Amino acid sequence: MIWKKIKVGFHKLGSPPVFYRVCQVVAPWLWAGAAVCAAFGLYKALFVVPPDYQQSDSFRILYVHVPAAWQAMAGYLVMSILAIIALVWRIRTTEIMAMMGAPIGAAFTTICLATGSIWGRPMWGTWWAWDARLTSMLVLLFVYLGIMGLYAAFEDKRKGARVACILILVGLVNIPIIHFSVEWWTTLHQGSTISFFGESSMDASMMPPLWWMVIATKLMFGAALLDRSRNELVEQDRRKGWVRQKMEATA
Amino acid sequence: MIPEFEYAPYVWTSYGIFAMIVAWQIVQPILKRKRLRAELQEELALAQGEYSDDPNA
Amino acid sequence: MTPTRKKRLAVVGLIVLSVGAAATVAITALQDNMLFFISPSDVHAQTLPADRHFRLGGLVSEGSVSRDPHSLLVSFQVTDGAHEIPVTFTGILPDLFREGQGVIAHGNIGPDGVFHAREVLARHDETYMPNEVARALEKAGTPHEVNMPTSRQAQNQSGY
Repeated sequence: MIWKKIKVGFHKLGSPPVFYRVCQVVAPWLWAGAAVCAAFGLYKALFVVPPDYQQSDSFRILYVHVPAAWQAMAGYLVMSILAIIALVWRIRTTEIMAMMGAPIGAAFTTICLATGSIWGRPMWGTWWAWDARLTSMLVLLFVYLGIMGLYAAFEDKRKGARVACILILVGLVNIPIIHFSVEWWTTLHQGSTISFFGESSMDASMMPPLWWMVIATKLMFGAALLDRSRNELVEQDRRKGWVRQKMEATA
Repeated sequence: MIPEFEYAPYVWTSYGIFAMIVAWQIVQPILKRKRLRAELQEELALAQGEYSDDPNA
Repeated sequence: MTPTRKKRLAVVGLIVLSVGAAATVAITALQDNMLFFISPSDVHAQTLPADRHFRLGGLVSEGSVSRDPHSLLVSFQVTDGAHEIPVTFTGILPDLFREGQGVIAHGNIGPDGVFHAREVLARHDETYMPNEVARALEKAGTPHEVNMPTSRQAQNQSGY
């Protein structure tokens, strides 16, 4: 019984008007949650956490750099799952969501690369180095841009989405490379600080703002994804009846 | 600014970049929605034959 | 799941698997080229020609840094615990350049056996802690040991 209900609910999400409505209602709440988490996180990161014993206050860049980097990668995983669903079940709203994740992922990748560069200049002594971690992250940015470009190049959006979904799956191989680059090779970038299964090499007093910012970026990604997907859906369906009805209702 | 929190300018620059790019993620969909709405309303008016170049008509 | 969807899922799986296999092969083949730096033990194990430029990475030996009072000339030792290599550099060092911390120097070993660096980068490890914690660790006699990875060849030679 319950499974049938979930299944029906899932299929309803495939209907454009229902999907539009859900995005419209849920996105503002996600933005609100993100704002609260980011407020806590930024305040603690800038004014509460003690300076690092080596890098002093410069290490505070970590609280925007690391959450952005994780979101750039987590966003890609979300897109990959959506791409698999889109390719196997051909649900149009899923195709649209998979495509709309790319610009947001690219934005987080840009934050990661820019803040990392700004951090690297005073600490390491260089803006950029072609080590495995930095290079694989740059590749991620190009993969995101490639997905956007491919999708935009198609007149038939459904066909474009399917081709770009395949590119998403091809680019998926880069995600473990980014993560393990600091273990497989010698790099200028340091190893992973946070370990989910072992002990993290960051003092507990420095942890809370990181988690607030991680949650905030997750919510930001979700909210931006729903916002963009809703717009894309209306743009594609501009000549369809349900959009006309909506327009007449608000006009 | 509070003297105790006078970090190097690049710390603030990093946070600024973060804030700007995130803000764009909020603003872009709003701008696009406005543009879409204007376009659709125009199309709707055209389809219903209510379109006129003269705003006073 | 309908047969069509099963077939599509199989194709999706095949794409992911084949790309993964291709990447694994490429990475294994290019393993050595993807190292950003090599450790003093590696340099010790193979005698490189004097004009060969490479990146040397390790820790700056405690008490080894000496600065020329009349110029920007700095000399220090880079170590990975097993071997040490003397390095000279003329120029401005990054903020994090410190004794006992990680460093990556780009240059070549001259006929004098000294590594002449053209560029020096600091490398910090993944540990973050407040000053008080660092001092408490030192007081307790267990100061934080800076973690610097070593290149693969050195790892193989030392047996792990």
